Amino acid sequence: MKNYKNTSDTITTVGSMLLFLLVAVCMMMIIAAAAGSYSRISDNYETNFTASSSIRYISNKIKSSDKVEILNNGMVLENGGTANIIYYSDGGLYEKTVTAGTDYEISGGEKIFEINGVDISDNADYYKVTVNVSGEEYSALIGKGT
Amino acid sequence: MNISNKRPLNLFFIEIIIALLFFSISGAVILSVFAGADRRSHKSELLESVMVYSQSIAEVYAVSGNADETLKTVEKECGRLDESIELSKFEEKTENTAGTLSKLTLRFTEDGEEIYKFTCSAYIQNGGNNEQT
Repeated sequence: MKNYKNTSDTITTVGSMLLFLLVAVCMMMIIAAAAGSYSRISDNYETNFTASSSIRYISNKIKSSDKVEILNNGMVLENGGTANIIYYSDGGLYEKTVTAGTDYEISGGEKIFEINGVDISDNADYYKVTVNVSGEEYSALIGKGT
Repeated sequence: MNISNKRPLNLFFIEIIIALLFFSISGAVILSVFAGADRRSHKSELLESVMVYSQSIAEVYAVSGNADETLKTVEKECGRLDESIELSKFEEKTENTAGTLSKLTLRFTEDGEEIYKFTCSAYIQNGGNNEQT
């Protein structure tokens, strides 16, 4: 009788522990899924924010400038006596301000956004700005004089 | 004797069950919260891409004043939007002797739910180089 009771107790205890272990494993899986989901949301947010911000930054700069000159990997935006050089180099979008009319060198600027490439082309009625962020390309058209 | 021996074990078992129930409910709540966050993140991503797309449409439309031509140009230059997004357009033109005022309203929806709606306009003067004139 005593043996039977002991066995029964052991089975109940082990069963409870197994159940607890099962829930613990499930919770671990939920936490892993949640961490993955959070990481994905964070990455997407970062990518979208960088892409749209850099496109809007370039767009606003183009709209507020008097003259636009497209360079390889960048552009020069002249406004009054100053010129802004916006260019891509070393994994980032850089900008520097110089006196208009001087030699425009693509170096020594300040990093604005971390991106993987920028392409600016001049079409008849608009500029096309393509920004590469984390391997994904985002394009926008910016009208001339609108 | 038997009853007094079984009681503590049953209580322990009930306690374990209650704890497990609590954890299970917490897990379900956490899952639903993260599923909601994922859904909202997707929606936010779509909204962001639609807004950049709309900006391009507005820029091109201001020059062309023609909805079909504008959409064709933007699709060619910027690529297509996510396939789940449906785009409906409404164009209104007011002509007078000086030129044509065109007003374009675009509505982006996903599964019938509106994501973004905007209106842009263009004024094409007579004698311009646009086919609208």
